[in-house]
Amino acid sequence: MSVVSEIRTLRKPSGRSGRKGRGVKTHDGKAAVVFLAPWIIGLVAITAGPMLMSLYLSFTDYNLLSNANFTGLENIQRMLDDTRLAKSLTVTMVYVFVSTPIQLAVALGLAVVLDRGLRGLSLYRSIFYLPSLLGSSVAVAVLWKRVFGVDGLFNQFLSLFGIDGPGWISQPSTALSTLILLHVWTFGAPMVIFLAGLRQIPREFYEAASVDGASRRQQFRNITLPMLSPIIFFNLVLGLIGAFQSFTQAFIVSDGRGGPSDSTLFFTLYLYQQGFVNFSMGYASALAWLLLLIIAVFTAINFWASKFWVFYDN
Amino acid sequence: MTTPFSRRTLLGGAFAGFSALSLAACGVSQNDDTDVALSNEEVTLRFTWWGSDARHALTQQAIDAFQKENPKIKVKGEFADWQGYWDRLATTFAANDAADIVQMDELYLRTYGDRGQLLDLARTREFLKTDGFSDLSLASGQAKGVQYALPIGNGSMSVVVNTRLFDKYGVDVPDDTQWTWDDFQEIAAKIMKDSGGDVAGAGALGVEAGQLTIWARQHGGEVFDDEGKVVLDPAVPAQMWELTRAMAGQGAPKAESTAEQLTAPLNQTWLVLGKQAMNFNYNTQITSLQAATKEEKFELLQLPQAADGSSPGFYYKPSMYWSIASGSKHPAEAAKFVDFLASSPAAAKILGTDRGIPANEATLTAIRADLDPTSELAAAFNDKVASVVSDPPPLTPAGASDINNLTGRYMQEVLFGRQKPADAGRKYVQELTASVENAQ
Repeated sequence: MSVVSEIRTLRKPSGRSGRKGRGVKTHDGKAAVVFLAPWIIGLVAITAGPMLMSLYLSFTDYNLLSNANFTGLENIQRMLDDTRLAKSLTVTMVYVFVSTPIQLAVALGLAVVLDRGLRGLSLYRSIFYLPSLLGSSVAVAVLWKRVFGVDGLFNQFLSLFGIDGPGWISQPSTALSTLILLHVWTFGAPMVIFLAGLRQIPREFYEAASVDGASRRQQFRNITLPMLSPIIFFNLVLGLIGAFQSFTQAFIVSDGRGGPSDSTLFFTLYLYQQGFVNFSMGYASALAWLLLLIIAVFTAINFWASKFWVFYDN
Repeated sequence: MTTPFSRRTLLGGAFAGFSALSLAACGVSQNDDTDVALSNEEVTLRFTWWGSDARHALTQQAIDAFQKENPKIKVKGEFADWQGYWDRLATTFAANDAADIVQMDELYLRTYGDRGQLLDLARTREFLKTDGFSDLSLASGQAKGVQYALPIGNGSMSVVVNTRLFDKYGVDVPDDTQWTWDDFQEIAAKIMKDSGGDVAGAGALGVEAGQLTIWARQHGGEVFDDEGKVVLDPAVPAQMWELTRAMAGQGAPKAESTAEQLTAPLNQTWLVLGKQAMNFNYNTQITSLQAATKEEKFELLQLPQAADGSSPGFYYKPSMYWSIASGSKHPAEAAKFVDFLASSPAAAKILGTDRGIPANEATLTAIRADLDPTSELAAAFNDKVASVVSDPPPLTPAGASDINNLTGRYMQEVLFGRQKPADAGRKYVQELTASVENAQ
């Protein structure tokens, strides 16, 4: 099933076909339970149970080494006075809402270019996809540190033009931008999905449009964008959620500190510091739930807003 | 569209999974009054440390030597690098699955000790001799009168000097028993000026807690008290960073270069690269610094002192500690093993100075003749400051384990001109206090 049709199915008011299936073949139910068992056990033991535990810990002063005492809303009170939390939220928001749209734009742009039937498409596709596989890895974060250091590759490149570049990673005003760039560079995953989506758009639409004298730009705006909007929406939802959870890059580039002077203090990094450096595990649990809440709210807004711009073809 | 949901919950889930596992078992072990005695059965001990591959190999040799002497005791080594070590240690302690013998750092000693996770070593005196340790050394492993740990190696904050650069720019290495912070600033500025800005005179001051502690003691204060409360006068870091700010670009590297060096590996620091004439380091680090370069030549100086000539504030800081988990089922055997590591000449010969210049004076004497030249420099520095070191400062309390990063962060706020030193000092003390109070 293609991504487009998959999303379409999901967006249908309610799974009529699903209900029918269950009614017809009841004995499949038991088999389904058996086949689902590994997943259900995993969900309960590894995800749901621990999540409930962490919800409970959010209301305690758990410090890993002593018993957890119930402290009511104290952790929430602490959040309100926590200036570093505010700072980390700001950093994360800037990171998410700058890097995700740019990343999607780059991915879409390249997908459109690649979709024009380039020779050796699969090669290009693989090459562009590569950073997505590497981008969140430790090795690339280490590389990034070298590229954007005072004596890094980037400044050596600039010096060819007589520009004396600063230490991009070690300066509070530019450190976050280098991480945003790193994130944008991992455009491969959404690009591949865009490519798949572009393939689903019937060629006749373009042929009809060009017969009517529509320019390339008009075709893009009036055919490609609306037809692709479910895919854009899908990538946007995934992209925002992924960006909110970014951790590795900032952790490696700043040595786990979020520096210089907290300019790359991602929310997840701050959470890690509270939990594993300060041993404020109760507070860290509360922070994890705050992140869940924030992501849920933005995703809900996203779904609500999609009514106004996502076009479904049936 | 199940993917977003599962990804969204991944963090909370993974995180919580760990928490749940750990909560069930925590808070069990406590120091009680049961006798510490050797078992008649064969016993297996678990021993955990952080470090490099070289250390792992040496430590395994020491374990083998111990097992040969004590056939009824088996020791199983577990090791990790620094970062991974602390994450894992926290989880194993939380899960009541801690190793018996634990290599400890000053930053975390009290975090574990105050929460009843470490054995009071006074209870194992029968098996663990402390004769070779001076009272000052022993004191560095105590809080509120409890001996939580035994120091392994001793060090002291120092100024590492690149003598090649001093020679090159015709600057005399100062008499470090006399010099003040003004002299330090002047010398650094002169070297930077004479080199046309190519070489920095000195690294930034006050990037971590050791320098801050000495600065506080030179001005009659401390950072913490023995109760684990923050007693630091905000004027102390403010004054210190005032000097740091004044020296940036005028003797010390500019703000962004300092920031970069904070996260640089040792062999990429300006001192090693021959781009900086002085830096603040523990004296024991001279061996790694010297090993990283053949061109440069390093020497050790005492830290400068305050102009009014009050206490120099120097102290021995243990490179690391041996401690025993209070949950250990075999404290007597564990103590025997620690005794072997800390006091036996056989272990001393194997381990050498890998964990620092031995704090045990008898051990140091036993290996002194075999020290390589830079280790000997470090050992000689310890001897030299012996007459001026005073009691160790109270241990870092729970909630302040991140103090080095915290200090570096506020120093950068000052260096990048985002905060005035006075404001940074005030907020620094506020944040440190809040962090410690939240952990109580």
